Amino acid sequence: MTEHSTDLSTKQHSFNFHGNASEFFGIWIVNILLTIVTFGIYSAWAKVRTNTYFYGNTELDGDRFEYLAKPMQILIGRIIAVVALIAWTILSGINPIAAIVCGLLLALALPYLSVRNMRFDARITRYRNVRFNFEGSYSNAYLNILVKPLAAYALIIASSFGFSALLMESHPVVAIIGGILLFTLTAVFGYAWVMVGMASYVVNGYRYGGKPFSAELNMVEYAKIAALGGALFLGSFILGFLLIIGLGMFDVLQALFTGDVIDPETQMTSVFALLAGYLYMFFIGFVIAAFVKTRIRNYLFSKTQIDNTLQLVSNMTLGGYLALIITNLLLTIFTLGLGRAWADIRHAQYMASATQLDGDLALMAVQDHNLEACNAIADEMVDAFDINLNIV
Amino acid sequence: MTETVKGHLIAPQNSTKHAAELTLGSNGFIILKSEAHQYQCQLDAVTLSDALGSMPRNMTFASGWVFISSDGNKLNTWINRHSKTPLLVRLERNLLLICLATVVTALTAYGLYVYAVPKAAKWVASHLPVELSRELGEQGLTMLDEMGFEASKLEQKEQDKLQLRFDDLINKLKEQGVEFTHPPKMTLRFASDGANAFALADGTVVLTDAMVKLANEKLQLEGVILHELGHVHKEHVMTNLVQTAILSITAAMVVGDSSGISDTLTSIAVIGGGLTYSRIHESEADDFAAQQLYSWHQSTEPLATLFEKLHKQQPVDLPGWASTHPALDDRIETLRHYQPPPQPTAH
Repeated sequence: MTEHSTDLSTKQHSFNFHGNASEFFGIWIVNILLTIVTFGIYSAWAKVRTNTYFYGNTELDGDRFEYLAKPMQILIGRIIAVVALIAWTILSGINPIAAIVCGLLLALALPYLSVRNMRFDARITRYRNVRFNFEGSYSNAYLNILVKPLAAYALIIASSFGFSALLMESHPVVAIIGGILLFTLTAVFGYAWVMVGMASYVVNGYRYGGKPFSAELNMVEYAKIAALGGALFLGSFILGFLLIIGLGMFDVLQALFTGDVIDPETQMTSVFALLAGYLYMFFIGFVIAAFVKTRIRNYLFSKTQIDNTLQLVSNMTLGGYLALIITNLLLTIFTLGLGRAWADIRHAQYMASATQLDGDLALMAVQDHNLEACNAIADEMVDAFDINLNIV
Repeated sequence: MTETVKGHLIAPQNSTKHAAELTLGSNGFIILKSEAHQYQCQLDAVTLSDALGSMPRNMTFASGWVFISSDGNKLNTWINRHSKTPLLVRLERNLLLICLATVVTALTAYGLYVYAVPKAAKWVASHLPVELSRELGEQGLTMLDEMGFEASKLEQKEQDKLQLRFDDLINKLKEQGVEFTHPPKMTLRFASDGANAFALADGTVVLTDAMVKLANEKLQLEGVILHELGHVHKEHVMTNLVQTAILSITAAMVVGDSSGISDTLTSIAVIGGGLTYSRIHESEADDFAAQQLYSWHQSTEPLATLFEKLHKQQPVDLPGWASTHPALDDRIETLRHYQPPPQPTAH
């Protein structure tokens, strides 16, 4: 073990992103123009061009990543995914039973689609003539992506509501307080258990050539992040509520909910208060999402090694990431969407700057595997239905 | 004149790096020198990685070895001098085209949003099976009951009278050649929330008791029923459903994800778009009611008066852009200034 740790500390390779916004804007807007002119057909070529740009401008130790998917592959996958999405939307809109069946089908397909998607994405990514791969099994996918989350939900609901129901007759106060405590506790640990299962399934399934990625994750770390995130939410919620009372807006708020008549004088203020409230909750949502993402990514990367010789490192900071996503949001809104190209470049720059790989890359001679990336259907399905597994 | 570019070689299917040097001849001849592998050929015999922006291009030799330059600019410049720049790359760098593309994109987005989506939704809605809207209408009624709507508390006699007036109205409209895909029905409900009226997917018009009481003059009631019949006539419920579906699908396809921001923006855009379409539908229904009222009674005043009464009952007015209905003030204004469309003169 000591040998490894000395190895790891000797060399540090940081990821660098070389793309720039003005150049990418040209590529991006021409992609959109050609997509419009060809009624969407070109979108497959556009995707390949965009990804080629982002992969090809990401550099590690003097070499760039490569995106190998072919436009025709993407086009076929995309057509199938769009047809499936339209059929699914219409079917689930017809009546409640059809909607439930559609939801169930999607849930059942999710682990399968995730595996196919990760495998495709891994096999079309190449670095130094060696492609990545994903070897996680379907059975483990169903266990970690479907069974465990369902079990966690069942446990959370059964334990807290069961406890409350049992004691409600004799000790109502104990029942309610105990129920809330039990709910919080099981929710935090349920989340940690599910996330650890999913993340270690995904990470341990990855290969670079034949070399395995490995990560041993600790549930307690995830539970800590979830608990802090929850506390942050509760704290800001209480703070917001205190602000409302402090500013004397409570009556207005109450009237809004009960539908009482408010004199026109206060009407405008109440509308503004409502908007300010929305903005505040929106901002809190961003802060918590950014907090959870940075902490989990930093932790997950710190536990991830490749072939036990290379160590992944993530140095995201809450302030840095929050500033990035908020400025990107404003950039996109105030340019009516045209700033998306710039926002994407800034995002890639930040993510690369917060990522490094420790260990001597040159010492590792890796042989490529001979497995082909078959079709892009799952890849496009996951995009169309927006069901990406977000482990970081 | 020859140039040299330093860099490294990567073996086929293997991650090992070897220092290498490329000698580039003025006639397009390439000599690769390295301890691990030597090669020489013309530029057109190597496979170049796709040109894209200013990304350094790699050379893959016929033997499978890949050369990566440590001075990407220098190699790119030499390659550009000896081979044609692909059309796509020239387009992506063309400032004029970029400006044009920006304008076309903005216009297309606007056109899709304002014309294409409503048109397409209308077409799809009119081609959906009748059973679907019937089913949805029944669901709508069940949903109302779950939301706390009860059977009407009006006297049976008054209910019968209202029903008769409704049927009269429908007959009058049919005589004028106004067609309905779904035969309109009227049903009365009691709700604690106050005056309200709406149309369901299957042509059912729901009036609350409070609305019947508020519209205490015959023509006011006629006005509000005509407004709802406008929704039925133009199949607004189904059109709205299809519009929302189209918008969400398009938004999901157009906006790729980079940091979860687009998710938020997409849902805001879809909600905002839905609201815009809903306001357009309300104006259309107002217009339908105004047209009939004007041709029968030469006045749109009764509906305007009813809206004024409604306005007084509403506690808080949301700003127009955040609401499903246009601001009542504007609707009243439009009604009062209603001008009938010019009639074709008969000979």
